[in-house]
Amino acid sequence: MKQTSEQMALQQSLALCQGHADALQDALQDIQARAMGVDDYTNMSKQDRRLLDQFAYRYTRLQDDMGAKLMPSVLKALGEDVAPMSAIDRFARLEQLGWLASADDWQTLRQIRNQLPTTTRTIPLIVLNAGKPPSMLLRSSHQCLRASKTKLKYKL
Amino acid sequence: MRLSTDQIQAIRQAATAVFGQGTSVWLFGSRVDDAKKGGDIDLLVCPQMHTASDSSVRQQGFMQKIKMLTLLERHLGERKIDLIVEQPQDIRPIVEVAHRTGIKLQ
Repeated sequence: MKQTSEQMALQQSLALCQGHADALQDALQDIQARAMGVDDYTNMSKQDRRLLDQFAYRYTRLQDDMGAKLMPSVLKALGEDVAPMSAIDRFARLEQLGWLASADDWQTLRQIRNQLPTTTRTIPLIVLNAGKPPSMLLRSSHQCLRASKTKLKYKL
Repeated sequence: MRLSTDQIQAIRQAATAVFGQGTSVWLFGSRVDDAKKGGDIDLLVCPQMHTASDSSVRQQGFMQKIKMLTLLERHLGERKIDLIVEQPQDIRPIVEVAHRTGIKLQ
């Protein structure tokens, strides 16, 4: 069956976000394996700094591309009219449809993303917060990614 | 000051809900100036209960800041809010500017 433009957009967004999620997972695992304390981040080696940059970049991109590309693509593929919806409305609708575990959690993750560029000091705070926010982001993303894959499979 | 009564109320409630009773909040930056238009909302929060400034407190403070920003987004809508949380013996210039030029909201 020929793909509709909505399905093609969804497939592209899915591939993009899956790439970010995989890279973020790798960066998080490497940071946790290094078992650094908060104070270790004041005098970082070149390698550690690159690792944190990788983490911040993928966290930001996953958040942004999920919100700006994947979520609207999912909703469009489901026949929803996304144009008049605010970002918060989209999260709520996805939660209602069972494609996002918690719209409130997603808003929290977005606030964390907004803090990432303000100072490098926030990165260790995010990472060391028992790994919760990054794990939460990955969990939320995986649910949306899985649902998108299912949607594509049935439509193709 | 360019904030509505409802906006001030939402800010007060969010600060107290996250940082506890006795938390003071200062509005500073362009929103203090009635002659200006638009702009970010710059806030300084001073929690009453200060504990030692070790790493676990810094982590807790960061998540409190995120929680307050999330509450504010829910009540004020999506907009740019800069939130500074005053630390014990805070010598950051921005904290001094906020106290000197700001308006105390609570």
